[in-house]
This record gives sequence, structure tokens and C-alpha cells, in this order.
Amino acid sequence: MSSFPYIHISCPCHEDRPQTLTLDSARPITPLKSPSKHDFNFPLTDPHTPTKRRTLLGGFTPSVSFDSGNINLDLDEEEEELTDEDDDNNNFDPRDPRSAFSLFPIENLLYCEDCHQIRCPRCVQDEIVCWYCPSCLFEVPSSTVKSDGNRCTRNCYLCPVCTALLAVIPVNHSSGHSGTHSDHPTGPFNLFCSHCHWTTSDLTPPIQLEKPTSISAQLSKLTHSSQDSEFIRLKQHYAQQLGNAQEDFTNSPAALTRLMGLYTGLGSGSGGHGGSRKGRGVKKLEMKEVDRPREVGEEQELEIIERMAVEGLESTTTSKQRLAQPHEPRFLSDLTPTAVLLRTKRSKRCRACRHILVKPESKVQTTRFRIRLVALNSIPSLTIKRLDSTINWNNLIPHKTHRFLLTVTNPLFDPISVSLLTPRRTPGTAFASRVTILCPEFEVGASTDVWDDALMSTKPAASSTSGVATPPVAGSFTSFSKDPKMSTVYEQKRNYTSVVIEVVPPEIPDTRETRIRDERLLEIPIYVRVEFEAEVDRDDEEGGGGKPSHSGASGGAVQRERVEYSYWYVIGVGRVGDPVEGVVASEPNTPVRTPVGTPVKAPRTPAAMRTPLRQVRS
Amino acid sequence: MSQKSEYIQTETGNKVSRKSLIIGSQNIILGGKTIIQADCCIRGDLRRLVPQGQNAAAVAIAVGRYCFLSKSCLLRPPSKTYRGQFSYYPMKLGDHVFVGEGSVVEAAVIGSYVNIGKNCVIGKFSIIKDCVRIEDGTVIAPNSVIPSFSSVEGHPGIVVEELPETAAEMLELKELYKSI
Repeated sequence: MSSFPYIHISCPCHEDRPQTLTLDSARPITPLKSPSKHDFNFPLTDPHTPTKRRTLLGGFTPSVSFDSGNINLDLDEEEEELTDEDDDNNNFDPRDPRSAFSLFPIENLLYCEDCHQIRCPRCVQDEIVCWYCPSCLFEVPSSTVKSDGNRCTRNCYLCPVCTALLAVIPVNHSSGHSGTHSDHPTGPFNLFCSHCHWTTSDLTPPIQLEKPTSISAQLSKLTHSSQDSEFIRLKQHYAQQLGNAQEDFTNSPAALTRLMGLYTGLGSGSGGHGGSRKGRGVKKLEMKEVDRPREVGEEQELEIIERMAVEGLESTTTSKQRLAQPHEPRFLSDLTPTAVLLRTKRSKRCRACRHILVKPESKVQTTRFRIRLVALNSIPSLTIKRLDSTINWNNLIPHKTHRFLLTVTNPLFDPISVSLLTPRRTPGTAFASRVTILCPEFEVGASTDVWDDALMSTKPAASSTSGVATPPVAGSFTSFSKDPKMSTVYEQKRNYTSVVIEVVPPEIPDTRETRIRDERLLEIPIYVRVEFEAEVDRDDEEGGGGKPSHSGASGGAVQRERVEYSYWYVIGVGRVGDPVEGVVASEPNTPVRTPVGTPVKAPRTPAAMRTPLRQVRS
Repeated sequence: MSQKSEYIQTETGNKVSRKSLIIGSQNIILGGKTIIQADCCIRGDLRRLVPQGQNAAAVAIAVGRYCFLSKSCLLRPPSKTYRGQFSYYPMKLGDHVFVGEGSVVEAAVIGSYVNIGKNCVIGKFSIIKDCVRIEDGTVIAPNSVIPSFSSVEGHPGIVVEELPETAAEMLELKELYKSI
């Protein structure tokens, strides 16, 4: 895949049904119901837990208490085992074959503001705004596309050998350097590829043009091959057939009956009514195919073989070159310049609610958009960095604790509280890596103006997050402690927060089987849950609700609503390398500390980060 | 610290490496906040042939804002013989143009938000529109046009992928400027 590290987001469209958090209400409002233990245990018994669990999560507020400390260490063993099982059942498995279709980098995702859901390229609908030639950048009207096909009809031609753009140059090109007649180059001209130096003069017979303009018209005259005439014949045949059928269906009153008959099998005869009409219908409805197979004349083939023997294999076309041309030429000298394929500008709609997500400006040369609802502006983005620059992404050392810095950036104008949940052991593989997020719950500031940042630095940080629970690390707002501590954010700035993630990859043998399964690829699924209070414009709500009398009363009233959403992110951390001597496996629950890193007390995984079930209620 | 002293900073925020080779600097315009790394070569001396008597202030290379020219890349104005006269023609780079290590650029126009990878060759008189990514080792044929929102790869470069709507954000180089 792409180079490491990469971060992809799983679009919920791969699930069987959409998430409930967007089904009932326009905005995923979380009810004020606190979860009970019973709620949590419920998904364990369900075979379809991944979906269910997520929908459940969307449905309630866990009302996490931050100030009482988010780590609940006094858990009994039984519960812990329960969570292990729970982990296995509910985690998103990036190795699942289905997952591959739903993972996209955040840049490729759109965001539907009506569904409050991310939209991947699979769950949007494209509509063509305009057609244009990518070479001359002229717009081609759709009527021309229908009549003349999807290739540029101006002077844009590609080299059939190397696909570079062809230039028009006079045949006696060398005389251009001297002599005064070069002021107005005279014909004949040929098309010349400045990349591989192929020219139309190389062809047999050579193609030479009289004028340097209107190449399409000149070429179509010169390269009118038997294939073209065959195509025209076929097109005429089918157009005629289609014409007959249309005439038949639209004009005849019995059209529908016959059409029905066609599907039920009555049309073929044996019907008891109107013998003469039946007979007519049958004849006309059956599309006559031009069932003439492609003729392969022995003489022709022998000729080709003979020519190959004479000219050598170097003169034959590659399969790519051959298939790019309609007449599939066997020899390089039979290739003809190919006209440039047109490209389109497209607008994109949400498949669920048909709202426009992307609408580019119709002018070909502009890159602006009239509408552009991208996920990058709506959901937090993750980035991962090495904390230790000696880590090689492509050669992670087994049993060694690799520390990475996971940064969550908030694009919203409201501060968000983020919970990161990850299975302790990466799912879907026999060689699971151990993953620990040192601080799984934290705040990320609002994406305000840069100037606010400067002003805010004088104020205490907590004031910016009024209404949201103060993070447990309010004191160490910008702690750059070299030693990453448990339940402490590593770095917190205006609209991003960084936490440390520790990864201990296992030893993976280099066998054929592990290579086939690509076991050494280390991908970590992280469930990111975001909660924030958003301002809801009453007027905005009424636009869809239809309560016009109310708008006067609450004109401009701003309500704050609690919004929550969550997605699975997958971090492609790297590839596990061969084991290194000296770094050995340790007990499962005590990560190996490299001598460089200072020892961290209580290396036990805090329960809170394993699963949402561990959160302490306020 | 030694990293800091490597660059000469201009009034408009350009940072030019002392080890870079800039020829004909009077014919080069840098838009500001552009970084030119070591061993870069910019041939401002190869400017348009001005007929005798005319005193046109010829600009050979114009570079926009927030551009990044990586180590040992070469910017050379394109040249051709037109009506019996050999001449160089001006080259224009937009904003947020990244040129990778060891790449040779002879384009006529490069738009904004263009990322050129390592060891690329951008052929003479090629035109690259806005929001384009050119992968490492690509050779763009002379006179070719790369439309917006394209990812180009190969030899000669062909469009292999359409970039998403967020291409401008992805290819923005403001953060990169701050990091130097």
C-alpha cells in the first residue's frame, strides 16, 4: 500500500445498516441516559456485536468523569477477562477482507451535513458537470460528446508508442535552422513525439498532413481503415434495429402486451389470441445480432508470421499499445495516433439524502468549488510521528517498545473531548502486537483563529473549554515532559493534542504462510469517539421542521447541543522486522523498556484505555 | 544552530541556502517565503533574447510564495528555435510548489499547489496546472499539459489518479516553511 505511516478511516457504509446515531434525528443528540452495567454486557451475547456495539455507543452518553481520574485500576480479574473477550468480539479488524473496501485516508472522504456522516467515494454519486480535453483544456459540449465520442476532436493526439503528446512539425524539419523560408513553415507536416521521437512518417504508408491545423479531419481521411467501416456498419445495423423497436413500442397499441409477452414467454407463440398480430410481434422484437465472428484468414495470419520473421519481434506492438487502438495492430508501423480521451469535472451527491457534497465551478480551468463538504473540515484528523527517530517504519523490532506520538487535530470551532479506544492486542492475526495508549481521554481545543491562540496563552487554558469537563491534566497543559507519563497528554496546543502510543510488536517468523498473509504488516485499529457541544441555530432547524410561527419568538436564539460521533481509524504503523538479539520477550503484561527510555512506574495497562466499559461514571 | 546559519533570509522571508547556485539573480523573482536548499541551481541567466534596441526587463524565472526547492534540483527556463531564432522563454511557478531532490524543471508554467517528487524531469514547455502531484521519478514529456487534480506517474508521465477535493490542503507548504 502506501508508505508508512498511513492513517485510514473506515467509512461506516461497509456495514450492513447505517449507524443509528444518524437515523432518528438530524443531529445525533445523545440522550441523558447514563449507561448501566447491563447495557454494556448486552452486546457480548450478540453475534453481530461489532455493529450493535457501535450503534449502542452512539446512543448513550457514558458521562465520563474526568476530574475523578480516568483510570480505574481496582478492577477484579473477572471483569478483565470479560473485556478481553469483549475486545475480540467487537473490534474492527483491518485485516478483514471487507475492511479493505471501506478504508480511506481522510483527504478522500466527504461529509454530509444532513446525514451527519462521512461519505467515502463508494457512497457518493457523481454527476458530470462538464467534459474537457485534458490537453488543450477546452470544454466539449455534451452534445458533441454524444455525437463525436469521448475523445478530443481538436488537435490533441497522443503517441501510440509511448502515450506522450504529439507535436505538429514540418517534415523537412532540419531546414528550419537555416534559410528564410522557415518564417512560414510549409507542409507537409507530420506528428512528432518529443518523448520517444516517433513520427507519423514512421508508418507504412507514412502519414503526412497538408496543414498544421484541423488534424482530426485530416487524420480521419487518411486512416480510414477497414475497422472503421466495420464499426460504421455495425452501428448502422443496430441503430436501425433500435429504430424499428422504438417505433414498434411507441406507436403500436399492442406494444405493452407484446413486451409483457416477451418476459413471460408468451410472445414466442402458443398464445390463443390474434394470430397475425402475434406473428408480427415476434419478428420485430427479436433483435437481429450481427452474428459474424471475427474472421481470421489463414492467408493473413501467415502473412503476419512471415512479416514477423523478416522484421523481428522489435517491430511488433506490446499488448498495451495494441489494446489501446481499435484495430489492434500487430506491428509498430500499423499504429495510428490516438486522440486524447476527454476528462470530466463532476459534482458529488450523498447517496442517502441526495444532497450535493461537492460542486466544482463549471469553468474548466478553475480549481474552486461552489460547494465542498469534506471530512477534513468536520471530523478530527489523526497523525502519527516517531517519538524516537531511530525507529525504522519498515523494520520494527520485535519485543521492543516503540513509542509514537499520536496527534488529534480538531477542525471544528468547538472544543472536543476525545476518547481513543484500541484493542490491547491487534486483532485479526495470530501474531498480535500489544498496543497501549498512555492517555486515552483528553480534550482538543477549538480550531480558532491563530490570533486567539496568542491571546489565549495569557489566560488559563481551562477557560477555553468552559462547559466541558476539565481534563485531568489541566495543570500540565503544555507539558513537554521527555518521559511520557501514564494518563498525561504529551503536548497540547491550540487545536491539537498529542498522546503517546506504545506498540510492542511480536516476533513473526518469516515463513511462506506469514508472507502470504502479510503478517508483518502492523496495522492498529483505533476507535475514536468525539464529543462536543455544538451551537445549534434554531432557524436552521426550522428550515426542515416547518414551524414558521416559532421563528419569531426564538429568532437568533442559540442552543447548545451535545453531539457525539465515532469512527474506526486504522493506523498503518509499519512492518515488523527480524528479531534483534538482546531484545527478548517478557511477560505479557509488562512491556519491555528499552534502556534508552526511563522506566515508567506501573506499566500495567490502565483499564480505561482498553474499552469504553471501564469508564467511571460521575 | 548550524542549520540556521545555512540560509540567508531575504526581506520577504525567502530562505536561500548559501550552498545553492543562483545565476542571473536579477532575472529571478521570488514571491516570498520560498526556501531554496543547498546545491539547487536556478538559471536566471538563460533569459529571453531581447532584440537590439529594446530594453525590456526580462524575467527569466518567477517563483511564487511558499515554494520549496529541495536539494540539488535545477530550474532552467525552456528553450526552442522559433523562426530561426534560438531563445529561452520565461518560466513561472505558482505558490506552494514543491520540487523534490534532484529534479530538473524546464516547464513553461507550473500552477499552485504542485508537488514534484524526487528525480523527476519536467520537460520543456510543459504546463502543469494547479493541484497536481508528480510522483518520484516521473518524466514529463516536452509540451505536455497536466490538468488540475491529477497524480502523474511514469515514463512518460501519464495521469494515474484523480486527486480529491482536498488536494490544495494536502499540498500546502506553509507548515513546511515554518519547520525550516
